[in-house]
This record gives sequence, structure tokens and C-alpha cells, in this order.
Amino acid sequence: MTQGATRISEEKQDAQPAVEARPTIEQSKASSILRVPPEPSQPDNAWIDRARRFYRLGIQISSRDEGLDPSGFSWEGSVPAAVTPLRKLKPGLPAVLIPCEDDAPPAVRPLPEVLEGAIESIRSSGHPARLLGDLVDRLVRRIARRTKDNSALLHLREVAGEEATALIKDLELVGEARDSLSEDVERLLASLSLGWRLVGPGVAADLIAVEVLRQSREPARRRLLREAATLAEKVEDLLRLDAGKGDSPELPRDLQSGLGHVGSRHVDAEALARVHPDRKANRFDPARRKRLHKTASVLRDWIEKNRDGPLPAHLVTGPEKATAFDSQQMEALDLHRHSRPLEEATELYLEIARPVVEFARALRIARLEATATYRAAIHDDAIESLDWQAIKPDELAVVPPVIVLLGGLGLDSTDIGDLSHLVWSGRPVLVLATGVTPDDEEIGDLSRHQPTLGALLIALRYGWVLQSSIARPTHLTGGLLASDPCRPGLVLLASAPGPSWAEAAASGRAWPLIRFRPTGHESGESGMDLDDNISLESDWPKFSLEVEYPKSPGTLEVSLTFADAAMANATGREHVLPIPPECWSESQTPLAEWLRHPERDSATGPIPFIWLADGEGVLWRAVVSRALALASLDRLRAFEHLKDLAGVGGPNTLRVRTQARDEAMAEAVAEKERLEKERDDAVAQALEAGARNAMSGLAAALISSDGVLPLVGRAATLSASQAKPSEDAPAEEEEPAGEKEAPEEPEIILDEPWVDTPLCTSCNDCFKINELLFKYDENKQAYLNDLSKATYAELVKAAEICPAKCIHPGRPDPDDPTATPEMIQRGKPL
Amino acid sequence: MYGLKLDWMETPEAPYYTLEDYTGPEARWCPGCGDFAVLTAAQRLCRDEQLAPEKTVFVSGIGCSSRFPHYMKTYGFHGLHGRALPVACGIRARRPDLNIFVATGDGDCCSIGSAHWIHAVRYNMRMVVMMFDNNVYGLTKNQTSPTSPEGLRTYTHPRGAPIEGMDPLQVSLAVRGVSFIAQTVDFNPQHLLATLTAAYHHPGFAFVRILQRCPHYTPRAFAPLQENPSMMSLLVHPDGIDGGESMTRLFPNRIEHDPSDLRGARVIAEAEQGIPVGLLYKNDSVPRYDHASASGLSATREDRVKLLEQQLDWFRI
Repeated sequence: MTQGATRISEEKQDAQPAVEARPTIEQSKASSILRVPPEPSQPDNAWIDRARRFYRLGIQISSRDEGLDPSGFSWEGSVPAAVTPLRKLKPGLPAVLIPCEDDAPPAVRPLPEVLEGAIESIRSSGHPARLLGDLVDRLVRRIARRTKDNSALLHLREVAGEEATALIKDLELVGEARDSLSEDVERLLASLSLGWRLVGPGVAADLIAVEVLRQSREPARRRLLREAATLAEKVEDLLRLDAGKGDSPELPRDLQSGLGHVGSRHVDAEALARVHPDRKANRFDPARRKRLHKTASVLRDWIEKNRDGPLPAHLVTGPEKATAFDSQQMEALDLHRHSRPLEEATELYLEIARPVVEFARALRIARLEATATYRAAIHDDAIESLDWQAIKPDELAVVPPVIVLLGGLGLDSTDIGDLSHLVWSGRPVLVLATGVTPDDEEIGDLSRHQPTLGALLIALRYGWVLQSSIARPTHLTGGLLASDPCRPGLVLLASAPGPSWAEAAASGRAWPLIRFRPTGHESGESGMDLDDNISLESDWPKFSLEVEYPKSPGTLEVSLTFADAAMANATGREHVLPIPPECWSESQTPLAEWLRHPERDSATGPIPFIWLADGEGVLWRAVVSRALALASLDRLRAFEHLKDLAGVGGPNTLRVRTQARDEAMAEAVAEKERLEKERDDAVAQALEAGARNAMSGLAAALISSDGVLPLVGRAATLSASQAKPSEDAPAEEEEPAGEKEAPEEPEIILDEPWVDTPLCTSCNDCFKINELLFKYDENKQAYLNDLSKATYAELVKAAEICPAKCIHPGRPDPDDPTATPEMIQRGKPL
Repeated sequence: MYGLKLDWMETPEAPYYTLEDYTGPEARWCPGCGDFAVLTAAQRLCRDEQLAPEKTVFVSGIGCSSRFPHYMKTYGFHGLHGRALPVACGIRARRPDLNIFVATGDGDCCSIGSAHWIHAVRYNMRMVVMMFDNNVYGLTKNQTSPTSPEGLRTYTHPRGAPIEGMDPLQVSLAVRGVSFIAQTVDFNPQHLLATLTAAYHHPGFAFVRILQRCPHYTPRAFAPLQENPSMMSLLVHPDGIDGGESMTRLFPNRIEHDPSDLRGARVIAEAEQGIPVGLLYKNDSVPRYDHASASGLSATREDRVKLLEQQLDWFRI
């Protein structure tokens, strides 16, 4: 597009509007005032120079504060054009946190998937649920709207019920449509478990972290709870056995009681005791008895504390930092405030882990004692030296999570030092940094966009990193669920100033979604996972916008760059200059292309711009300042670096791939040349041998008496034998399977009357014969409704009159008085 | 306020339409008429595609099938005999936002309206044309229509139609600018719906000939096809009409035909044996007259005056 202003018109003018093409708020707004401005008569050179100066020097425009540029551009309602397609992608839909049920691990699933799965199960039980299936998108949207503005973890069933009821009311459905939808909604709600919670972009990140971490540890906790109960019982059995032993022989009395009245008639316990006069029970030595007592006590205490309620959690934050828990009560939660929260958490973890270490020791002792394999000489020291670093991951998983809530990226050197210390200590503390985006007061500080904390942790290689966004609840919760409970972790969450910005940032490489596991490569995979980023293979996500050019509709390719993402908030506003069509020139190039342009840094090189859509849907070029352009270049390089780490197409990966491909190609070419040479040699040899044979044949013919060429005779014989297939060999070409005669299908004779519903043409004729017998389905096609209200004669008449011949009367009921021989005769061919 | 607002990803709640939202008064066609099947298919299409009734218009001429708009709870235009297509083209020219369907019969389209038909094909304006072909004038009580087969006894020709009827498929395929030609039958509702759906999604003039019985005057016109489906040939292709197994099970004969092959389509249409059923021809890239006619629709009065003055300025002395 080189000339004339364009206007966004996502609703194609020529399209037969379908469901997805219905106008959105902005579409309808744009289309209602759609107009094509005339082409500029001549370019405005002064403005073109001004645009170049802005790019080079970043000269601001004084009247910007008044909300109107000298160019006539109004910032009111404006958005970067490249972020508008995100509206259709709707990646920010809430996730459903499915808690640990029975022994199944907890899971996170996108809301649409959960609801569609529930509808599928309704369908499999014989209910078509067509209306509900059609409306599920709307239900999802409504629920998403509820979660967006709600900071609590809502119950899915409750919210779905309320929103479905409101939806039915708003749709103003009547009659059967309303009734059937209401019934299907009831079935849907019944299939949703009570404990399923909604995680939307409005939920506070610390709430999500606490809830998800608790859930992630729940399976291990339950498993250990059961094992601890069994082992405690066994240890107590041992203690009871020990207590039952006396100093005097107990055999006669015990044996007699054990044998009972009948057994005693055959065995004389007293006599047996006399045979073994010195027999008596040996009691445990005191050290073992003490060990067993302590073990049983620790296990019982732990069981008692963990039987009910959730796993406790500890939050550590700065003295002034407000948390979501200030306004919401949450069970088993301790909030610690400290001037140096990272240092405090490092120490706190040891304190929290101590009882768990004690429990782990008791568990080990009990396991050994239960199998009578405890050897004091070996195990005493080993168990005594057990600390939190040595216990197993599933045991460590029951340590109450310690979570540090950090404000943003504004960490001072002390914080950075504390963070490094925490990571190197290896203590599995979770650090949660939210609100890492700049506030409105910090307009223009592009360096604030750089999420360097994640890079720091990745460089330290000891903790896991989850860089996520509140706009991607599934990524966030899924990453937390899959986190390593044995290592420190950092969660960086794009949140402020809201989900809209967060989504633009996540998509525009400003805040790429990262999952880093320091031990990932040990399982043969990359430790870095970038899979949830849009258009991973390209520099920036690309979209094709439907726009109306001055003369006809068309499309415009746009890239969602870092500059677009920065512009989605007011942050980058000072770094662009919207210019009217009169100022457009060939020297201006889209930023995504500028970043790859060879003349990028030349004084006479191109000027980068992005597309802005104003409040009325008119597209404007907005020249990007050099600072913002270079910041975009930096983000592009950072993302390429991440892609290299993940092995998914960064420059180094591509270089290695190209090198490998070149090597493989070289090998293939060499092999091809070798084979060709072999072939040429073989051909030459064959020609030589053939010539020799021909010469021999010719010589033989010349000297033969009858003059018949033996070679010809052999060739003829050979052709004949080749033409005739060998009897022994299997036939080379079998008859195609399709041409074989298909086995005759057995004729199906149904006794019951039936209607071939898909063939019904809705002509109403059968209704006129008996309107109680036939009924229309939701596609307005007939089926048999109530056979008890019909006679055989009516069925035959309906079948005869049916133009689609889709009614089949079946065999008559012997008790039906209308099934006269004549009627049966008429019904036979039907 | 500048920047993305909290509700930027929301779409306003659109109404949901059920079959009842498109169902008008009870249809008054003869019992067993094939029009019922087309009516239900059209209503199902509207429901499946969730077409807003206020954005949908059915246009018709004169004839039994042209009563169609009365039975749809959408906008409708019951026009003059043979003039359904000019009216529809007019609507398309000035209202590009509407869904336009045309119900026309073999008499309405191929006789008095034949000139309009040919030019409507040529204009390639976006609309779905349902041509109900029952081989007879039914509303006026049994006269020979342009598609009546040779020998059909009617009040016009009591001894039988003296000449062979015309083939609307061949005629349409011969017009330059043709972009969508399909044929279907009224007694297979699945195929009928699938064909109309494909026609609806075609960005141009979609002409669908529907072989449809008149229970009163030509009850046996297509009965042999119904009784012996091997007389029909289902056109199959990945780019053709896909209606699933429940649709295709009734067609034992199938022909692989690429709908982008115009020459092949003409050969199939001319074939003596095997009535083709399915998509004969489709070309999305044919120029459309409505693109030209809709130009400048969005310009305000001031814009137009400005443009006019700009033009007049060229003549300034």
C-alpha cells in the first residue's frame, strides 16, 4: 500500500455475513462511519522532513498533551493496527483448575475444552444438545467476562450456572428451544465437579500461585499420608508385641488360648512348656524401643496435622507491599513481612522444612522396621544426617510452599544479591514477580520493558523460570503445575496495567512466554520451552487485515512488533509520530522490514513506521523514533537468543541446521556420483559383452548350415515366455479390490416401523394423517413419536403418500384390527 | 484514553436464531410438493449460518415456488414475472451487506426472464439462485415450460410437447462470467442443504438448479430418478459438495469431477446418460459487477460534492 489512507473494515463488504463476521464493538463503530478519503493531490515535503527529523532526533510535538496532533490525528480510541487481530484469537480465555481428585493429579485445561468435553459427554448419552453446542462460545465469553473482573478463584459450576441462566434469558428463546436448552444446561452443570475453579486474568497472581502449588503437591501429600498411616500402624504393632512380652514363660497360656477348646484336646500346652523350660520372650533393646516410640509419635503427629485442610503456605513480602490476601481470607496461610524478603525466605525455608525432615526420617525408619531390615550400625548415622537436601522429591513436595512476592523489576543491588544467594542455596522457594510493566508515570522509559530477571536465573542454571502472562492463564497455571518442587523458581508475570496490555506484550515479543527447566536437557529435551508464543517461526507475529483501499477492499499485511506492543499502552506514545497520507513516501518502510533492511543504519536509509488505527478506524502511518526502533531490534535479538536456547530456529540453530543439511547434501551428491559411475561402468561392460555376444552370434550364424539366426530364435522364445506369466509365480496384477464383487449384504427386514429421518422433505403430509404419530426434530425432519397412538393402516397410508418414501410401516401388530390382509398387502412393498 | 481498554477483546452479544426465527406462515403448496423440501433446507441454512433475518432477503418472480418469500420470516420481495433476478441485482448493487437468495422457477427464469438470467450470470453479483425446475407451469395449471421434456402432455400441447426442453445447466455454463453451477434434487434433503450451503459461501452468482417434482402435473417427472438412483451421477471431488455419508449413500454412481474444469462441466452437462448431481463448476476469481456498483457507497454527501467539484475543476478556464 503506497497511497491514500485506508480504513479498517473487518467485515468484508462483499461477504455474505456469517457468525464470525458479525460486527464487534469496534467493527460496527468503524463500519458506521466508513469513508474513503480522497487521494492527496501532492505530497507535503515539509511534513516528510519533519517525520525524518522525528525519527532521527525524536523531536516531540508540543500540542501532544492536548490530545491532538498538528497532523489531525486523535489519540482517542486509537490502537496499533497489528494488535487488533488478537481480539479474534482470544488467547486470554480463563483456564479451569481441576484439583487432585481421587489419585488423579491436578490438571489445567482451557475453559472451552472443558465445556466442549462436557457437551460431548451429554451427546454420547443420547441427547443431541445442538443448541447448547452452538451457544457454548457465548457461554465461554460470558464466563470469561466474569473472571476478568474478579480477583477470586471462582467455582466453575456456580459461575457457569449463573451465566447460562442469564444467557437463556437474554436470548429470549421460547417454547421447545428454551426448554431443551434449559435441560441441556442442567446436564452440563451436573457434569462439572464442584471443586473445579476458574483461573482468569483478573485473579491475583499470588492467589493463583498458592492455589496451584498446593494442588501440585496434593497427590504426593495424599500418597504419603496413606503410607504414613500404614507404617504407623505397623510400628505400633511392633510396640504392642514388645509390650506383650513378659519376663516369665508365656507359652503355655498363650498357646492354650490360641488353640482354643478343641485344639487343647489334642495338644497339652503344659507338657509342651515342660519340654522347653527356659523359653521366654526376648524384649526389644531400649534403643530400638525408643526409636520406635519416637517414629510412631512423629508419624501420628504428622498425620494428625495433615489429615484435614489444605497444605499450609507461607508468603513473604516487603513491609509495604499490598497482597491479594489483605482483602481475602485464605485458609492455612501465613504472611511474613520483611525489609529483605528474599533473604528472609531463604532462612524461613529451613525452618519450614525442619518438621518435614523429621517426618522423612520417621518414614525411613518405619519402612525399615516394617520389613525388619533396620540395622542400627548402618542406618542410625545415615538417618541422623538426613537433611532437606537429601530427602526424596515426593517427600520434599509436602513442604509448605514458601513464596516471595516481589513488586516489579525495580530490584536494587541488595535484592539482586539476595536473589542470587537464594538460587545458589538451592532452597525451593518460589519468587513471584508481578506488575513488572511500567506505570503510566514512567512513559518513555523503554528499558523498563526488558525482563532481565528471567535471563539472570537462566544464566545461574539452578532454578526454574516461568515467564508468563495473566493474559495466558493456561500457560501460567500449567507452568506452575509442572514446576520442580526441589528447586528454586522464578515466576515473572506480565500483569499491569491489565490483561489487554499483557496479551499484546506476550504476542509482540515484549514479554515472551518462557518455561525454563535447568535439568530439562537430561531427559533429552531442551530445557527451554517457547511453544506457547504466537508465530514462533517468524520474527514477529504476522496478520492479514481486511482493509478498504480507496478503490476496493483488500488486505494489508502487518507485523506485531515490540513497538506495537509498547504502543498498546501509553508507554511508547512519545516515540511515534502519526503522519497524514500527504506525508507518506517511498522512503518509509514497516518496522518489521526496517529491522532486516541492509541500509537500516545509513543516514539516507529508510524510516520505520507502524500502523495505527484511530478511533474511527482510519489507518495512519506512525513514524517510530530511533530509540523505539532500536529497542525493537534489541527485543528481536533477545527472542532469537531464546530461540537458540530452545533450539527452535534462532540464528545459531539455523546455521547448524544449514550446515547439517549441506553436509547431508554433499554426502548425497557424492553417493549419487558413485552410483552413476557404477551404473556407467555396468552399462559399458554390458555393451561390451553384448557386442561380444552379437559378434559370436553373427559368427555362429555365418558358419551355420541352415542360415537361421539363433539370436532371433532365442529372442522370440524369450518374448513369448515373458508374455506368458509363470504358472508357479503369483499373478503380478491382482484384480483391483474395488472391482471385485462385493459380498451381498443381507437384506435387513425390520419388524418395527421406522422413518429414514434424513430423507424427510418436511412436506407435512404424514402429519395430516396422524399428527400424534409423527413429530419433527430440530432440523424439521419427521420421526416416529408415539407408536401407541397409531394404527397399521395409518402407517401404510403415510408411507404411500410420503414423497420421499422415507416411511416404512414394518410388520403389523397381530392385535391391530386395521391390519387387514388388504392393508398388509399394500404395506409389503413399503 | 489511549491504549487498549479492558473490554477490547469482547464482542457484543449477538442474538441466536432458531428454526422458528425463519419460519413464516404455514406454506400453502400442494401436498407432496417439492417446494417444502427447499423451504426447509433454506431455513436450516439460515439457522446453521446464523443469518440475521433483518439482513437476509428472499426475492422471487411469479410461480408456485415464487411464493417462497412469504414463508420465510426474513425480508422478501415478490416481484414481477421473470424479474426476480433484476430486482436481486439491484438489491445487491446498493446493499452489499445483505444475504440475498432468489427463488425462481423454470418458467420464471428460463422463459420470460431468460434475458435477465443470462445477464445475471454474466454480472456475477453475489447471491444464491434457487431455480426450482419441475418442467411445467404449475401455478397457471399445466402449460409447457421451457424445460418440459419432449412428449410431455400439457394443456398447451395435449399431444405432447413437440420439441425437447432446454437445459439450464448448459445455458448457464455457456455464459461468459459464470462462476458457480450446481444441480441437486428435492428428494435428498441432505444434498440439497449441502448444495445450498456451498452456494451461499460462493463469492459470486451461485446458480443451483433443483430438480423438483410437481405432485399434481408432473408427478412422474423425476420419479424414475428416485426409484432408480443409478440414473443419476453424483459428482465427487474434494472441492465439490460434501454432505457426508448419509447423503452419498443414495447415489450408487459417482463421477470424479474437478469443479474448476469448465470444459469438463460442459461435457457432463451435455451427456445423454446420467443426470449429474453436485457441483459442476466453480470459480472464485471471476470479476464481480457488484464490486464496481458498490464503489463509493460509503461516501458522504460532502465527499461526493467535493469529488464532483474536483472533477469540475479540471474544466476551469
